[in-house]
Amino acid sequence: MAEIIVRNLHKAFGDFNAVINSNFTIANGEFFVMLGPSGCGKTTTLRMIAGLEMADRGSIHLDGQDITYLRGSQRDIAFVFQFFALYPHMNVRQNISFPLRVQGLARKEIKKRIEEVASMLRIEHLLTKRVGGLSGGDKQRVALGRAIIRRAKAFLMDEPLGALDAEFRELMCKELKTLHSSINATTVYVTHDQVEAMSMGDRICVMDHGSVMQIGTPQEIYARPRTRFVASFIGSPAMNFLPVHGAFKVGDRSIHIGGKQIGIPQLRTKPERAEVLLGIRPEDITVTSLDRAEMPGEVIGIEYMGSRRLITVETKMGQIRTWLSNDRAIQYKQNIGLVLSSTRSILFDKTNGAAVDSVLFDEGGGTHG
Amino acid sequence: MGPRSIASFLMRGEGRMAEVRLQRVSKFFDDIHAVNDLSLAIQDKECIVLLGPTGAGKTTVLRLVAGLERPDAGQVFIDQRDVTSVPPAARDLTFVFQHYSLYPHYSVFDNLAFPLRAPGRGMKAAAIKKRVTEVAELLHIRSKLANKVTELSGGEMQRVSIGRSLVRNPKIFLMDEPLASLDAQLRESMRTELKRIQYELAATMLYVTHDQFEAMTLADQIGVLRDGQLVQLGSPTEIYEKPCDVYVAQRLGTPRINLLNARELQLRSMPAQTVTIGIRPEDVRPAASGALAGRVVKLEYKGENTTVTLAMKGETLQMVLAAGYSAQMHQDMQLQLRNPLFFDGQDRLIH
Repeated sequence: MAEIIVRNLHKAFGDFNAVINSNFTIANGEFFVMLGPSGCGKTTTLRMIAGLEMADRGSIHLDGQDITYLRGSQRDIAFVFQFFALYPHMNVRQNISFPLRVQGLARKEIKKRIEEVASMLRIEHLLTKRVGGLSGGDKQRVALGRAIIRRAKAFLMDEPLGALDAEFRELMCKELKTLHSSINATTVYVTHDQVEAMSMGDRICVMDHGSVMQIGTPQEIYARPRTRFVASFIGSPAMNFLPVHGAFKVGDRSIHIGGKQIGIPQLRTKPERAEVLLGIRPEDITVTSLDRAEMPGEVIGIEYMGSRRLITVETKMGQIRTWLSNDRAIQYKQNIGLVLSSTRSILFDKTNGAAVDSVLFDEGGGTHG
Repeated sequence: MGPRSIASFLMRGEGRMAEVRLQRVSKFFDDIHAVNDLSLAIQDKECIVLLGPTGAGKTTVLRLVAGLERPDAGQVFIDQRDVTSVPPAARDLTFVFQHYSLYPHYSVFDNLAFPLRAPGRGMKAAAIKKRVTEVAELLHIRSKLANKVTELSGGEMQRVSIGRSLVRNPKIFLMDEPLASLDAQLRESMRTELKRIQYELAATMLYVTHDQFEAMTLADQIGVLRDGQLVQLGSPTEIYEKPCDVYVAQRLGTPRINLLNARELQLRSMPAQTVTIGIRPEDVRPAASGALAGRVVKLEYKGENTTVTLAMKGETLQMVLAAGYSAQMHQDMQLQLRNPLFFDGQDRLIH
């Protein structure tokens, strides 16, 4: 059971608080993604789990053992870096087997494991090649091979795909996911790329300014973000935010915008302030004729995206983006109507960014950091 | 002044034409045939986006138009005039690079004014100020004019770079992955911004990217390159819906187009010489009874929708699950296909 438990973890560099009182538990075999912008503390957290940084306060348990102050080498953990740290003078086989040779494992066992790993990563044909001549993707496969051959209790990966170009990245993403499902090792994966996080994570931990903002499945994080930061960081094109001023009360099922009543998921609490933002994703808005509009606007952007078009509409409330299928006619400067889904929108406090609780969150909603 | 009137001011000198034509241009770097007998015409006010993977020759084409490279064969024309041996400065065009090259110790205003202060121009301070202010307004950075560029966000810096290329009022814009160094969300909003600017200025533009969404949203026409050759030139819709071969079909669309072996799959409308069938993931739909059956082997949640991978007859098929449908792991599904593309033994589209 390689469960990782992080409690009240804190780390400062001088007067900069890199990680502030983090708490989370990673289940055995889970693919746990830490996501956030640069400087949010995700890499520092990972490095503390790896033993590359020591925590100022708090604890880290791996498989029931307190490893907070163990040296990195004493933790049964394998680390994969962004820049494949391979030994350039060794061939692929020697690179992969290096950790086992250091451990002094029997030659026969080493051979068996190399074959296993090489076939898993489909690099059997490269074993005798020097690493210098390999493509970026193959180098990263070798780096992965070296990490998995030890059969460590947990894998830590720091933007392992960050150095690859978009095309390779997509491919490696798939391979990593397949690899994870075949070895089922607890994995902590750091990235700033939301698409990677969404497609790979069993759960995502979103961080900002050293603090855990929200932990949840990709679905929870996407559909039920607990803060405006999480809502805007996940999703491309980004969620629309419309400023709304009003007197709200518990049980409200609608709000007033520009003289129109617009349905929202029923409120469970009352917003603390009268100034809120209505958050709604582009796919939760429909384009209609003007007479049926909840909100009228002028088309100022039409972007063809292959299977559909992304439309930008200038309204009294600001710019709103939505999708439109290719078979609907639309023109620049055209006046159109918009209708907002009444079941998917979220109100956010304009000052602190917290989501106002509503029935939307009843469906089950990730832990609020 | 509204954006439209700013734009018309920027385009002073009504009736100015700006066409670019490459005629059978080749360029070698040692043994590498970077551009191979390429012909391409960019009409006045048109935006052509060159799309292709690393090494396809996109940037070299751009540099040939700019005059930063000399072709080994062929000619470059701007407005009917042969400029093949004309130096870059005399071509009346402007170049925006991936990495913004701004003067860090200057303010935004001074960075924007720099091209106008060139000694030979003799432009009056008042005129410079007017021009810079207008460009800043167009790019929504007017409030930042006094800031040092180091105090700006990445998106603002890239706007200043673009602004610096606008102030001179050039006829032709050349852009080499101008958004590539920005993060995903910024890139997306800048993409919309660039589209707006291009539309309002009605500028002639040649734009290089490996990002398919930039290509589809910005281009009047997309030129798909492979190994230095122009494989297909067409509107984004043409390239997406009628790709001339398998390579082009794979350049656009995410998830990628499914390529299925025609021998394993008999579709009614399929021409006899079909070897490969291309189906875009959004054109696969669950159905009560369909042309295909598959078992769900993977579900990938993508936020607004889910990508389903199905196994069938030794092949896999990806489907973007349309709204209103659901799928479970290991579920058997009947599938309906829309808009299939048929390719022959040479991977060419059968019309």
